[in-house]
Amino acid sequence: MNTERKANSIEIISHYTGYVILCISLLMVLPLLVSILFQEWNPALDFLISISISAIFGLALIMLGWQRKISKSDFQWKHGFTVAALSWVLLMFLCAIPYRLSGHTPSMLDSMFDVMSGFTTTGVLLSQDLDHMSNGLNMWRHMLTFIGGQGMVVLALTFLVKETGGAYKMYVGEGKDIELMPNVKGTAGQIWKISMVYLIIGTGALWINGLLIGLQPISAFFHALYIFESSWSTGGFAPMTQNIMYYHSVSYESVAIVIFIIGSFNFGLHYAMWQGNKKEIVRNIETQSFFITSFTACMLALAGLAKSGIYTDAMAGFRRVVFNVLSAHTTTGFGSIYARQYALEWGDFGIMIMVIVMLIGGSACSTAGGFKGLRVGVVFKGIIMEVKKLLSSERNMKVYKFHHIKDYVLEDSVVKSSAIIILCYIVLFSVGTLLGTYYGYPLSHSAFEAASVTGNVGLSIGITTPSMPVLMKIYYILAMYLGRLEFLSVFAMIGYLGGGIKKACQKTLKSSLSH
Amino acid sequence: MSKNIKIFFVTLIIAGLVPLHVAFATSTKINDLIEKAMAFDGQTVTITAEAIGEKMDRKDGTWVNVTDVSNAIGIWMPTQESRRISIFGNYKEKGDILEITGVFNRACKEHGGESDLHLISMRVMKSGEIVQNKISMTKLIITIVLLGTTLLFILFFINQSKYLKMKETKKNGKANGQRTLS
Repeated sequence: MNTERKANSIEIISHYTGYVILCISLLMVLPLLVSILFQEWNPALDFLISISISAIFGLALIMLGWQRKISKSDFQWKHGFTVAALSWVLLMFLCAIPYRLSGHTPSMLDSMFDVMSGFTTTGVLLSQDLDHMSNGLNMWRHMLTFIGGQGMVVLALTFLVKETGGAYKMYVGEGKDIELMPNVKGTAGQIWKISMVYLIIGTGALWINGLLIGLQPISAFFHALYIFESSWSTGGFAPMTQNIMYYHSVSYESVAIVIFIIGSFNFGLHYAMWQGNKKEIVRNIETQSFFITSFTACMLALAGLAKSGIYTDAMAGFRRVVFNVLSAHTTTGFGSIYARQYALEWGDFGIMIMVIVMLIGGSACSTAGGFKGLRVGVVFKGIIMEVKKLLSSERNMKVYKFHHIKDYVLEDSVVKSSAIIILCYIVLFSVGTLLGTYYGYPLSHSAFEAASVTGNVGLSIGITTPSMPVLMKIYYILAMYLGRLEFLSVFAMIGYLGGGIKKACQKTLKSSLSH
Repeated sequence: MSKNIKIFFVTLIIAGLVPLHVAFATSTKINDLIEKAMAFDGQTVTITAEAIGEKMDRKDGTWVNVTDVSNAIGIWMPTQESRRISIFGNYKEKGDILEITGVFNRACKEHGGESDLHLISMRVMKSGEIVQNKISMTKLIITIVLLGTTLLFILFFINQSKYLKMKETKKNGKANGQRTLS
């Protein structure tokens, strides 16, 4: 008779969370090598300390959940969601250690803010004096945003988790649901393959461009790598304070635009294109939605800013308006103007356009944030469907469809679930705006910053600084986190933890009553 | 008397006008240029800032980025001038401190609407220097202790892993044996 007990939920979650943490911690070896290469000894020590702490923590979690390995217990949806959500929270602490030790952030909270901003590919930052930052830490910042874009759980699944039983549940928990291959490990591998091919091409293009605009070969390479990682992940970090303005180059900005637009597309679309299905880019509901909204937003912003005389010539319009609108729409967050220029020069109309595109965001199952073009397209088609139903005869039973990699029937449940997620984003954005106004920031400024963190964009109007209220920092961290994981995982984790606490309380109460 | 009054009024008018230019002649913070970009647009300003990153030579000039902690900005200057800067700030070095006088453009027509400064004159106020990043002994000791602990932990982990594998093999062997017997 088999008397071996099954692993409980805590052990299962602990086991897989440990794997994810161990995997991401080991990645710190790369910035450590960069630090050694550039003979930056203090940053090298920072990374050694962080690797040690993270490795001990990861191994301890794996060992705590060893019962899972022994008994092959069931892996349920709640476990998958909780592993994804919990890994992000724990990694936010662990990955912030090199930041804090470097002295570029005034507090641990600020360090965690920057890490969450990197993971969620947001790009707002509280780190100070980027211009004197070590190469090692710069490598780490940009790696975080690159890994976060593809998904940390996705990475761990590719390299560490052998069994694929619960893999799909963790994969979905990280806000990704596209199935490129029959198994999730294959899909995760495919996502990384796509990203790595683009990494080589994109870094190469930016490197050549960097050399042409006068950068030295070695720094041109590192700048190219960092800007690619940020663009592809729609992150928005850059190695220098001036962000993309540091390069003073229309060609550099143009290459970045191409990369971040491609990066904001669904991995399913990339895969379809790779498979030779070139028409997908035109037929897909997400790309249709993106091109319509981005074109409209660019035209409106150009018209508005030309009317107010802020930018009068075409080149300025392209580099300062189109660039920023596309950067906001793809949720990248590269800024080709100073943060305060939005507030001081763009006016309410310009700010409103930016808020709208930041909230819409890029494609589902991509590196981008926001509502996602798929949901906007589905809800829009849903509205049209309802209007048509009202106008047509009750006998007329027409089936409405939309195309996203393949044809789907537009069912009420699909429209409803899309609308619910959009509603969640709007609530998150509204609370953020309200909080900003509570602390005395103007409404339009608060809305801009709230939209930027909710949509994981990273553009700032000047609110995000180390001196901002602590509560706002915490809320922005939460907004970036919820926005990136698309609510469900976090809700599942909160529900699971809440349920656990309730059970524990009931148990304690019962035992105390019986005594 | 009337001459004196005239002189007085002329002096007053000049005094009223001059402060604006005097203010511009004294060092302005880069962040102030951005905050009051409309007012400073097209004006000659002087800033004191550190050269950072590296210079970027172009066909008809050179870009040099500078920071004064409050913010950073690009300076467009003749390539010849940029050669006077010997050190650009980075992790290991503090860049040359420059006093730059130039024309501020809120949205430069020549450079695609960028906010920049077109150099008129530049003075190297202080040469850059190597920043002494001494290895922190506290960090070093913590690192050694933590690395030792991690190593021990890894050994314990490997040991436990082997033990579990052995247990699993035994269990599977037993199960297979039972199946064969039955």
